[in-house]
Amino acid sequence: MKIFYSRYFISFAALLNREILRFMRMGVQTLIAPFISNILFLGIFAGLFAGAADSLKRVEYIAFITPGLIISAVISSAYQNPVFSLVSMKYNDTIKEFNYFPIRPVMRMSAFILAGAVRGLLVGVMTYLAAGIFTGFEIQNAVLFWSAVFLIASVFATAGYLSGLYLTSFESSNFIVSLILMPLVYLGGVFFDTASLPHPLREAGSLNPLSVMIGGVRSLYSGAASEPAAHSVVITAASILLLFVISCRATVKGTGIRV
Amino acid sequence: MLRIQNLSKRYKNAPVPALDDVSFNIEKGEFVGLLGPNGAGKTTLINLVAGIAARDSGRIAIAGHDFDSGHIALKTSIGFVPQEVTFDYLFTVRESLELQSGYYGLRANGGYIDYIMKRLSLYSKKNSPVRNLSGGMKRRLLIAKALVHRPDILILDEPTAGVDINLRRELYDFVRELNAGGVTILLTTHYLEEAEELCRRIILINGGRVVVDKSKDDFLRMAGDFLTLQVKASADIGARFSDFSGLTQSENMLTLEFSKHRLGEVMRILSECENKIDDISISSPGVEELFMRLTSGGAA
Repeated sequence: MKIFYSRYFISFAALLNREILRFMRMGVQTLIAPFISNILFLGIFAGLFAGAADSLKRVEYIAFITPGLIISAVISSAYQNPVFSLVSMKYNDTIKEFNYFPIRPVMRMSAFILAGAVRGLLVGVMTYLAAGIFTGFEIQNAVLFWSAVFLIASVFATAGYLSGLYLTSFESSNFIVSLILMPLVYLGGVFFDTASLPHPLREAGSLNPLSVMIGGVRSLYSGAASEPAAHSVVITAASILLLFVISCRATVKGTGIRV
Repeated sequence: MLRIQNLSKRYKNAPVPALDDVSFNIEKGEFVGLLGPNGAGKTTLINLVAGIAARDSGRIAIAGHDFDSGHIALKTSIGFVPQEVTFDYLFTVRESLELQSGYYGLRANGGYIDYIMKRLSLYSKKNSPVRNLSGGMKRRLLIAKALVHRPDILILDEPTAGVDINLRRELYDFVRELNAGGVTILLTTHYLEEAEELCRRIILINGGRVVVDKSKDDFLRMAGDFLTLQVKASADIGARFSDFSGLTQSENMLTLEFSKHRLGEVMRILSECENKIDDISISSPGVEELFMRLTSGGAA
């Protein structure tokens, strides 16, 4: 376990610690707020659409939307964590410190991404626990389900990290969340099966990588999904690889931190 | 300790370079003052050394390692105190220092963190959130952060700007103590008396170029080398001093700044114009006027 005593690992652990401390200190905004919003979704949709279960292979509607809600909460929390952290560092003018800290660029990037993924996972677990009150705590394949959730959280934390390098204001990051990320999430089948969409929305939906991710996770959660989990894993792995490589290049170049 | 060779930097869309072919070396244990007017290039220079800005050309080596090597020893050798007071406001004083220590790859550095906090009178505030600290305390914390990994060279970018006299004195003592302990110091400042009191070498930059690089004693001698002559004369005697470049005239008043070695020449001209002179004074301008002269381009 020599690696845990190496200077590089200690630097990485310190930055990861900083990032986790940051969102824990702001727990009301970073953890409680998305949790409450998901509770409201569960309450409202459970009440309104409970009768729609028959068309969804006999799975109660609330059980149907639970994995979708988990993933939507995970995606938005994982994305927002590095974005807000990096943009607030730009506001405080502390981001330039990364130029003289002896933290390897890949280590720095990994700490931000991992912290974002951890926050996403925490919000996901909290949503699952809340949904469990309505549906019970049964997951078809729990290990694979939470592994897939973590992988998806990592994809969006990486996307958030990359955005954070380029964005300079909270307004622009909110713009991306409200006008790009959340529409993609909701059209990706959080509240409905994308196969039930009319033409041409169905075809458009099939181009949305999030519908594949959400469908795959849903099949791991309840077995009731049109999307095989294998597709989801391939799309997720390809996304994380692509984003990781782009982020690596931007980080090594000093994008966002160097004058 | 620090080698800078032919360093140049021009910011995007800037008409002139911020730094133009700057070279100098700083040896281990030196205490160097980097002086210059606003916009001279001081902050650009130290930002390049700290890696905050990217240089256009030239070389920087720190502690024997070329900057481009990215060697870890290079970054751990530097402690940097920026001009602006900037912090992560979510954390306490102790947390800030522990995180900083961690970024430098140090585990279990609590003993030294306590020492630094005590030495900088921060210990009583160790559990206070940074946002609650006074301006002076924040300034101390910036210095503590820069020292937490025991750097070999400490770069201070105007550390006493806006600081009261008591804290300034305390910081002077502490920085002197660090230097006596072997830490190399590079200090940028606007306060000439600060450089005069602390530094043993002065590098003056203006317009992105090194104008003076001398020991403090030589610099002070240079200040003493210049004299200012003021003459009130009933007739125009300016033409007699046409050979001097530091001449200014208004109505019947003539002001001449000249090097001490030309005093005999000046006295001879004055004695020749004796009957036209109403009043005369000769004074030594001191460091401040020398600074003004060197940074405004005039010299005798």
